[in-house]
Amino acid sequence: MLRITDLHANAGDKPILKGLTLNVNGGEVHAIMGPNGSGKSTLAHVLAGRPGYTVTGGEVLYKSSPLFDMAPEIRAREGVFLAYQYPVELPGVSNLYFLRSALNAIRRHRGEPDMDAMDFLTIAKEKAKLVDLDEALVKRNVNEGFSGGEKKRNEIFQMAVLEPSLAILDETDSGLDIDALRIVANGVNKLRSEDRAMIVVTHYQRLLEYIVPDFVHVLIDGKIALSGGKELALELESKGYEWLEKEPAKAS
Amino acid sequence: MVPSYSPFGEIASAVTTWPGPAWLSEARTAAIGRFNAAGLPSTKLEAWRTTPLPNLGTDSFVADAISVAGSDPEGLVGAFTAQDAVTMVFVDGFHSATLSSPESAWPKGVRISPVSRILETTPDELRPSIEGTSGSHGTLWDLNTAAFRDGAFLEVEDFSQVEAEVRIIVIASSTDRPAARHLRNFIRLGRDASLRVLVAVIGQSSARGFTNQQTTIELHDRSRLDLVRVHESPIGAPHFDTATIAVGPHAVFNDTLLQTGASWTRSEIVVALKGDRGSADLGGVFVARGTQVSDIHTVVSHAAPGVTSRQNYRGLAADEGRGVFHGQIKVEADARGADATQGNKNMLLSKRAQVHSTPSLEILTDDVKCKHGSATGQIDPAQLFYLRSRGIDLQEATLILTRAFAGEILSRLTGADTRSVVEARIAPSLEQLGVAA
Repeated sequence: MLRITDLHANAGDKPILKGLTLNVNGGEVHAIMGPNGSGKSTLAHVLAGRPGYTVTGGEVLYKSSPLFDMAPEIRAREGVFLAYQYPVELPGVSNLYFLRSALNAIRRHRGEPDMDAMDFLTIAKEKAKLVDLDEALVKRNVNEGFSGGEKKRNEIFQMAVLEPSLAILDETDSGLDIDALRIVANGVNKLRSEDRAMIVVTHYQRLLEYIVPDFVHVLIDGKIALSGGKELALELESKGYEWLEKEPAKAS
Repeated sequence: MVPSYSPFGEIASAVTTWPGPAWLSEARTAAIGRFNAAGLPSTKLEAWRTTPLPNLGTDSFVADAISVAGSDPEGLVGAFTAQDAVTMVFVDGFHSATLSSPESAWPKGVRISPVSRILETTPDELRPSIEGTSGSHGTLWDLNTAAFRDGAFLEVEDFSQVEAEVRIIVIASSTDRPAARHLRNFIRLGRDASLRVLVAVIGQSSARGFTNQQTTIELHDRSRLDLVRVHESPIGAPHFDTATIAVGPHAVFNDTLLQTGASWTRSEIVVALKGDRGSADLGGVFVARGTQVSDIHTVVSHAAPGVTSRQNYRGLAADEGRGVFHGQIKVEADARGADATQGNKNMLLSKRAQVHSTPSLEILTDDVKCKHGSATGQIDPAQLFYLRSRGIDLQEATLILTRAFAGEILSRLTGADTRSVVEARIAPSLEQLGVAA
């Protein structure tokens, strides 16, 4: 699904990713952990194609094609989805209109006909239940006046509607209380499937109690310093990241 | 030798040949005298500093009935006809009975007439309005006073709530030679009366000349006027527009203005809140693309206790488009407890697009609530990327965001049919907005 080899990238002029290598196969959930400033969010943004980042070396193949040859909207149509740490408010743009435009852009890309508003509403209502998102919020303007938890649920709701092949969850747990975290994680778990890969970026182990990963990678200074199974997250919880920042990287 | 040509002389002599009472001929002659002395507005005037007048495409300022051969005004009018609306159509400055709704369809409680007919039958009822506004609104108003031959006359009886919307369609049609279109509209609402009016200034894409439309509105006690105006006179046919509105006690003036494309459009709105607790709610949006110039000038005077005004204007400028918003709030000493707000937000979609936004306040009492804000920026890159990261391409994402930006103004339109008519007018301008890479 995703093959990242020796990726180097700058945020502005500052080198952040310094030789990151990672393979993600369909059906797998990979957690990316690490201290602040280690490059977790940069990785998520670079994969989604956000402006402001420059890839300076390495290669990323997505479904065997070079990812960086694709514009952000093409990546999305090919099935890459970023769940934002800070979802953006779109005043005056209704959630339904926004999502139907997105879904139809993806469908057109696949050579499928547009979905009409009525059919879409049926699907949207059904998917909103996955994350317990109120129907009123589904119809409101995108993220406008939403609480932090509602915004995160709205991200997972979008993911449920767009059915990506590769979902990148950027700090989806930040700012959530335990109830909201449980709801969001349940929604994500229901979307786990054989042909869908997920990269879960998080600072804390807490989220991984609910979304149990197949692999855990620790990002230190723009490189993966350590990889392991789900139990690595627990080890990090008790020992912190400091011990790793002093050790040389070792292979998983 | 080529004789020297004087448009002012031409109009001055034409005025004397038009029928009408002596007071009107005198008013016209005086107006042309003021126009002659001052000339067309120049950028030396503060009110015109940021908006140089364009080439008017004609030397003649005399309004003259012109053949409409070769044009299709019916097609243009069709977009505005609706079951519960009556239309009044003006082509190149003159009323067209054939294109307008038949008089039998006119609603009760409102007197509707072309001004040309009032001039023939009962011109004296226009006298207070014409004399009362003479010399106080600049030279284009003077030019209009001298040269207008027609327009819409609407008078709503006391206590009459008119259900049907009155739609005034002003068409620039002349393509064979440049036309000077001068229209003077008179709208008067009696006490406790209400009326909805849509004014659309439209035209053939190749129309020539200019349109100079001036409107006086009087709202008596507790009356309410909901006005929607679409100004989209075509490329090559600039449009100047002034509306002066006197708002009486507890009366409500609601105006939504859309400048959706013209080579050059300027709309002045002069509101006088003259009666206790009168209010004005003004909103508008312009879309300036190509080399278009869109200019909105407002002057809202608060001259009685407890009066309220709201202004909410938005602008979109792309390519080399230029927008101007100049909003003036005046609060007189006796306007105790006045409450005035003004907001102006603009979005620039290219490096060469420009918007000049100038709020101006003149407040002569302490007992006042007054708030204003102005912000001009580019399309938010975070919003744009959010849409793209969901699969929506740059062009569609831009359209979604500009539509949403203009949508705040369109959401003022509560009548479903009015809104869909207006949305259909603004949609092509938004679709053609380009974003410079």
